[in-house]
Amino acid sequence: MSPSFSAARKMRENIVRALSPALKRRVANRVLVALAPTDVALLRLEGTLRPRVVEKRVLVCDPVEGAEPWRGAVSSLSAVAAELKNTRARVTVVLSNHFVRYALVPAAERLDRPEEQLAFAQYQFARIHGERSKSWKIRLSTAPAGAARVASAIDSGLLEKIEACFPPDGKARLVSVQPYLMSAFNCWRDAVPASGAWFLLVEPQRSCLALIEDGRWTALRNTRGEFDDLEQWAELLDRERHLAAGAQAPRNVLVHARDSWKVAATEAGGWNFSSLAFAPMGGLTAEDSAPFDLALCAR
Amino acid sequence: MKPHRLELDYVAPPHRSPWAGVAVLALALGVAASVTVHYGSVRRELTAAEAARGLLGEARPARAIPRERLEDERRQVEAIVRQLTLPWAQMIETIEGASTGEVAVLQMQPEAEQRRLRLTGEAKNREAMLKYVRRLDEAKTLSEVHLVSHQVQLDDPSRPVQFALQASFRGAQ
Repeated sequence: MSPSFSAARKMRENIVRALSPALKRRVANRVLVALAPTDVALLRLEGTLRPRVVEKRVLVCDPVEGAEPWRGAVSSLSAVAAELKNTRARVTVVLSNHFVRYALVPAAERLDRPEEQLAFAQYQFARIHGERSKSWKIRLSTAPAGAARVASAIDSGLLEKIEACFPPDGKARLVSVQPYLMSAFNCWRDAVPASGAWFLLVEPQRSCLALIEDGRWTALRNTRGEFDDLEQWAELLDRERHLAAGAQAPRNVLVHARDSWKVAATEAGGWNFSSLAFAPMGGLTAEDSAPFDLALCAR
Repeated sequence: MKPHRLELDYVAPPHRSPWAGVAVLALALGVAASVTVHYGSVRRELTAAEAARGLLGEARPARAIPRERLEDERRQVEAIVRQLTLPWAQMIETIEGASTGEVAVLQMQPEAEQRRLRLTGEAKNREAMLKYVRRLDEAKTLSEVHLVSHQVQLDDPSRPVQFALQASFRGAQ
């Protein structure tokens, strides 16, 4: 090997070695935060193609700290964000269904412009929730022509507080704030069969149940209550089937709940439940993943 | 039908289908590959052209030419030069000047190598032939004019005499 070639290779190796930590910090660091009334779960990931958990934390919150159920969670998030201010990372926040309202907005073919469609979604929320919905931040998803669209609404104050935790000039950059339903559905929408299925998300004191048939959302209900066992899930489904679907509704249910990974599939009350579980991730065992279920949906 | 993605993000813009980007990327890669291949091809052609130019530009070793061939060429060149340096105009003028109505020139054959002229003609009779030879001999451009042969054409009723003569160019080396 010629001396000049050897020197050039050595120089290149030195440059790569010097830049690697900076590149890793710049490219690969992600922080996933799940906000729920009783806890804030945080995962820090490194690696793009095969992300690996390098930090995990759960902060317990006071659900009755303020007038809104999210006050305690945002306080904890603010503390976490202060610790992250020197960490270069892209931050994704997943909102518990406790903080989000959903509605199915009927198809309105005459409404062409996005502002008109959003106003129509706002009208739908006002019909359900009254005047207080006027201050909510609403998002409206896309849907096939002629199909109902999923809309979500959160308190404006919640979004403002979250954004305030991650100032634009900080190293930790807020790149996404998404409802749990969005994270979970996008994570597992390929599991929805063409014939249709129920999609059930279970959190402490909360369930979110949707029916998807032929690629269309036909029912959606976000309900407060106790949903700790299969019988309660079956009762919820029986009730919803009578309200929204009728006898022709599918009997298979895709469920994402804490500890879903423990049981792959089971049957109760004439319903077939299939658990939605994550593929293993470096740095996080299945047993340890339960508190981070919401955050992992956005990975 | 596969359900659409849910787009309810409060910060990020709606997720766009990656296929447009993938298509653009594929197109860009295709163009890049094509350009790379073309570049390689052009580079090879350039290398070949430079090599050819290098071959042409270098002083090639002189090939050995056989001496016999050189001699032949030299002789050919000298013959051509002699042919070109014959006093054609004066020669023709002399022959025309010596001609009369009783003599016709049939053939004129210069021999540049020996600087001689062979001439074939036909005279009305023998006296006309001899007068013609004498006139040529008196010309300034010719010398040593000799009658080489003569023959009466018996099959012709007028009995002409066909003859051949030879002369040297004056000043012949």
